[in-house]
Amino acid sequence: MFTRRSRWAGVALTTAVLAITTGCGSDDAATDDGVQVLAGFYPLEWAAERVGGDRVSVEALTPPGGEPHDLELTPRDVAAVEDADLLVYLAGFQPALDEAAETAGGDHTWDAGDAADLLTGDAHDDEHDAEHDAEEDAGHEDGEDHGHDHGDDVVDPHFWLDPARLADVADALADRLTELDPEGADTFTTNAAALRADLEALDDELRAGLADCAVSTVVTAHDAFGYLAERYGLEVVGINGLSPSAEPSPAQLATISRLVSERGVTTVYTEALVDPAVAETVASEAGARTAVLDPVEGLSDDSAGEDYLRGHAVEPGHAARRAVLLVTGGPAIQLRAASIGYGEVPIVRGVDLTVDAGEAVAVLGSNGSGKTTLARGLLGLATVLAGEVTVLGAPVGRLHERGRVGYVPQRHTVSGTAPATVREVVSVGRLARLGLFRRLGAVDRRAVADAVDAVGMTDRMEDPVASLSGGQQRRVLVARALAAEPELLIMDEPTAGVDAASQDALAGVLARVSAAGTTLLVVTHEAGPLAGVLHRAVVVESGLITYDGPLAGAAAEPGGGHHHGEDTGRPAGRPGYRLDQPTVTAPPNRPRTAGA
Amino acid sequence: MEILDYSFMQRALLASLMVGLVAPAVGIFLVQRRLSLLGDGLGHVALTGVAVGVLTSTAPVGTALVAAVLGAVLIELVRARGRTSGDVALAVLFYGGIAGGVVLLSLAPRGQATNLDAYLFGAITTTSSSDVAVFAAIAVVVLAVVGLLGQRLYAVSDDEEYARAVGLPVLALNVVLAALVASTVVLSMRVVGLLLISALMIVPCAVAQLVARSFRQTVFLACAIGLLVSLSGTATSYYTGTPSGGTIVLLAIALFLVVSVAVAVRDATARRRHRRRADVHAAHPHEHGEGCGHPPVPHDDHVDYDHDGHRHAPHRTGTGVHYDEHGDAHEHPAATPPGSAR
Repeated sequence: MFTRRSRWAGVALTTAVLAITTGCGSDDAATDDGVQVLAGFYPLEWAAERVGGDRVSVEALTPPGGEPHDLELTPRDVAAVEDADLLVYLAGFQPALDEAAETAGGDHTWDAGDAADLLTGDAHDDEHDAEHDAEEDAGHEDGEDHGHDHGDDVVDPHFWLDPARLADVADALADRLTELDPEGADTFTTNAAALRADLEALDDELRAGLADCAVSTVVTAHDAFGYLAERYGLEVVGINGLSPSAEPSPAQLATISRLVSERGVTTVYTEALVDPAVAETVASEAGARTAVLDPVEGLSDDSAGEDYLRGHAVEPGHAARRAVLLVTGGPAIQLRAASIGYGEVPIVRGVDLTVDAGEAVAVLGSNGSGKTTLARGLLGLATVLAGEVTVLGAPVGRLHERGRVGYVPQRHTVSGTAPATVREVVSVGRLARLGLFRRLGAVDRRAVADAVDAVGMTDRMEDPVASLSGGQQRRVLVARALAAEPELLIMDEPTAGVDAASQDALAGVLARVSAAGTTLLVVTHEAGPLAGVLHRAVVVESGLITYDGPLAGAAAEPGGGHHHGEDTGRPAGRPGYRLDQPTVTAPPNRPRTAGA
Repeated sequence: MEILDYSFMQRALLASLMVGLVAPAVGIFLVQRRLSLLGDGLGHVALTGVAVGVLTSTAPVGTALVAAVLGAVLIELVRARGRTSGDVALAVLFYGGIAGGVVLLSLAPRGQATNLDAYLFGAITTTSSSDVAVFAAIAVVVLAVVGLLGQRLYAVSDDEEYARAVGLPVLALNVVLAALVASTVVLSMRVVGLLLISALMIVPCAVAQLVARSFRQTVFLACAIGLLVSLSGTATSYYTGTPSGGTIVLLAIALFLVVSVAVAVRDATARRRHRRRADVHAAHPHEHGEGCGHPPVPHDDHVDYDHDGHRHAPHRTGTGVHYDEHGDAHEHPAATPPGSAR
C-alpha cells in the first residue's frame, strides 16, 4: 500500500498551497467609502478580498513574509483594529491579535474559527493506526514547551488548507459583511458562490492528483496540514509536533527517520517560513529529498505562486507539472566526473555537468562524439562506469520513477510492424505512470489527448502511424513523451530528417513545454531550428565537454564545435573544461526553484 | 454434421478452437518484437519435456509445459545479459532441446515408445479429455494475462528501449511474454505439432497486419483469423484425410497470399488513381493560392481549390508544390500505402 511514490502527495499538496501572491501588502490608503476590513493573515485577507470585491477594502495585519504566529502589533495596528469596520481574525492563532480584538475590537470582530469547524490536534492522532501511535506521540510530546502559540487545547487552526472549510468560512463572512453593508448583499453572496466554485474545483483537482498517490504519509517539519490530511485521507507526521521552531530530540529524529525509510517516503517537506535544517537532517538521515510545502500562512517574495488559487486556472496537467518542479528543486541533471559507456568501454569520459530544473539545453557534437551516449546514460540505457550521474535528485540507477523523465528516441519512424494508431502509440507514454496493472483512466486519456493536441495531431488521432509522414511520426513520438507529463524531457536528434514545417511545429511545442517548467535536454548536431528555445549549449567532443555556455557562443565557434583541429593551443580535453567565457554559465531564464 | 458425431473430433475441434484463439493473441507480440521464430525454438525445447514425460510415464503435456517455460525464461535471461552471444546461445538451447527430445524418446522402453511424429506434426485425433481440460486451463490463463498486461506487452514489444527508458519492467514483461509463448506452444502441440506452432502464432497476425488500422484491431482480427483457419483446417483434414497441423498452416498461408495480393492490387489502383488525378492537374498547370480565382475549400489540414467542380489539393514534394485531385470529402490517395510502408 505504501510505495515510494509519495511525490504525488507532494505534487498535489504543493499545488494547493504553494500559491501565494507577492504583491498583497496593499499600501493604498483605505478609502472612506466602502467597508474597511482588517484581516489577521493572508488566507483570511484573500477570502475577504474575494468575497468583498469592490465594496470592501481589505488590509492584512501580518506583513508579507512575516510568520503570522509571531505577529506583534504596533500601537498604530491596534488603532487600525479600532477604526476598522470589521476585524477578521482567527481566535487562538495569533495571540497578539486576540488581545487587540478584545480590547479594541468592540463588537466589530469576527472569528473565522466559528465557521470553520476546527479540529483539535488530538483528533488527528486518534485517526492514526495504532501501530504508529508511538511515533506520533514522539512527534507531539513537546506540545507544552513549543513556541507555537495555539494554546494548550491544541486546536489545529490551519483550516484554510481544506478548500471546503475555506469556502464555508467565505459564506459566513459574506453574511457578516451583509450585516455591515446590506446593499452589498447580492455582491457578497455572488462572490462567495464564485469563490466556492473555485475552491471546489481546487478540491477536485487535489483529489484527482492524490488519487495517484500510493504513499499516504506526508512528513513535514510543521504539523500544519491536519485539514488537508483529513480531507484527502493522508497521514501527516510532523517532525516536531506543532512547533515550527522547537528542535526535536535525537530520539524523535531517529523515530521519524525510521518511519520515513519504512514507509518509502521520498520527500520531506520544509516550510517557506520555517528553518529547513530539521527537515534536512531527517531527509539526509533517511535518504529522502527535501522540498518546500507552504501552509499559505503568510507571504514572502520567494513564494512561487500568485495567490491561493492562481496556477490552477491553467489546465490541470500544467499545474501538476509546475508543482512537481517546485517540489523537486535542485538540479535536474548532475554529472560528477561521470564516465558513461557500454560494456566496459567508456565513451563519455569523466565529465561534469549540472543542469538546473527548468533549463533548456542543447547537447551538441559531431557523430561519435558521445553526445547520444551522454543522454542514454541519463536514461539508464547506457552504463555509468565511473563517477556520479544524478537525475531529478536520484542516482540514475535508483531513480524509480522513471516516468518523470520523458524520452524521444533518435528515430525517424515509429517502430513496430503491427499497425498502431496515434492514440495507441501516445498512450504508451502514459503507462509508466500507472504501475503494472492499472488501466488508463479518464485523467490519463485526457493527458494523451492533450499531448497529441500539443503537437497538432489531434485530427490524426485514430490514423495508423504508418500513414503519417516522417515529420509527423516524430511529432507522435514527442507526444508520447509529453503524455507522461515529464519533469525532464530528453530528445535525441528531434529535428534530423524532418521537414521545415515540422521543425517549426516542434520548436513551438518545446517552447510551450519549457515555459511550463519542464527541463529540456536536446541532443542534436545542429541547434539551429530550435535556437529560439534552447539557451544553453553543451558541446561534446571525443567524450569530453569542450564548451558549456550560451547557445550563441557555441554557434560562434566554427561548426558549433564540430572541429577538432582548432583546439590546438587550448587545454581542451580536460574533463569539464570550458573553452571560453567560463563565467557565463547561468541561463538567461533562471529555473524555478523552491521558494525556501 | 457427421464430423461432430465422433467424440474425438469434438475434442479435436475444441482443441483447435482454443489454439486458434490463443496462438495469434500471443503471437502478435512476437511479430511486433520481430521475434517470430521464438515460438519455433520453444517448440524444440518442449520436445525434451515431452520425452521426459514419456520416459517417466507422466503426462507429456505437463512436462512439456515445464520444459518450455523454463526454456523461455532462460532465453529471456540470455537475451537480457549479452548481445553478442545471445544468438548462439539461443541456437544451442533450441537444437539441444530437439536433440535431447529425440534421444530421450529413443530410450523409451519398447511398447511405450511414442510416435515422434505425433508431437512434431500434431495428432489431433488422439487428444484425450484430460488433455482438453489442461488446454482449457492454459488457454484461460494465457488470455487472462494478455488481457491484463496487453498494453504493457505492446509497449515493450513496440519499443523496448523506450520502455526501459521510462521505467517499465522490461525484463519481467519479456519473461512473462516468453512464458506465455511457452504455454501456447504446449497448448498447440497436439493440434499443429511442435514444428508448425510458430506458423499459427505468426501467419494470422501477418494477415491481420495487412488490413488493420490499429493494434487493437490487429489483435482481434488475428484471433478471428486464427479461429477460422484452425477450425476449418481441422474440419478439412477430417474429410481429406490429411494431417490437421499441416492443413491448418497451409490454409493460413493461402489466406495470407490472397490478402497480400488483394492489398497490393488495392494499393496499385490507389497509386494509379493518384497519378491519373495528378495528370489531370498537370494538363492545366496553375499555382493555386489566395485570390487565384478558384474558391478555396478547407479540407482536413490543408486547403483544396475548387477547380471547375473538382478539387485540387496541394501538398509539398521535393520538387515543389504538387496537386492531387481530391474527390469525396475524406478520400486521401495514399501517398504511402499501408502495405508498402515497410
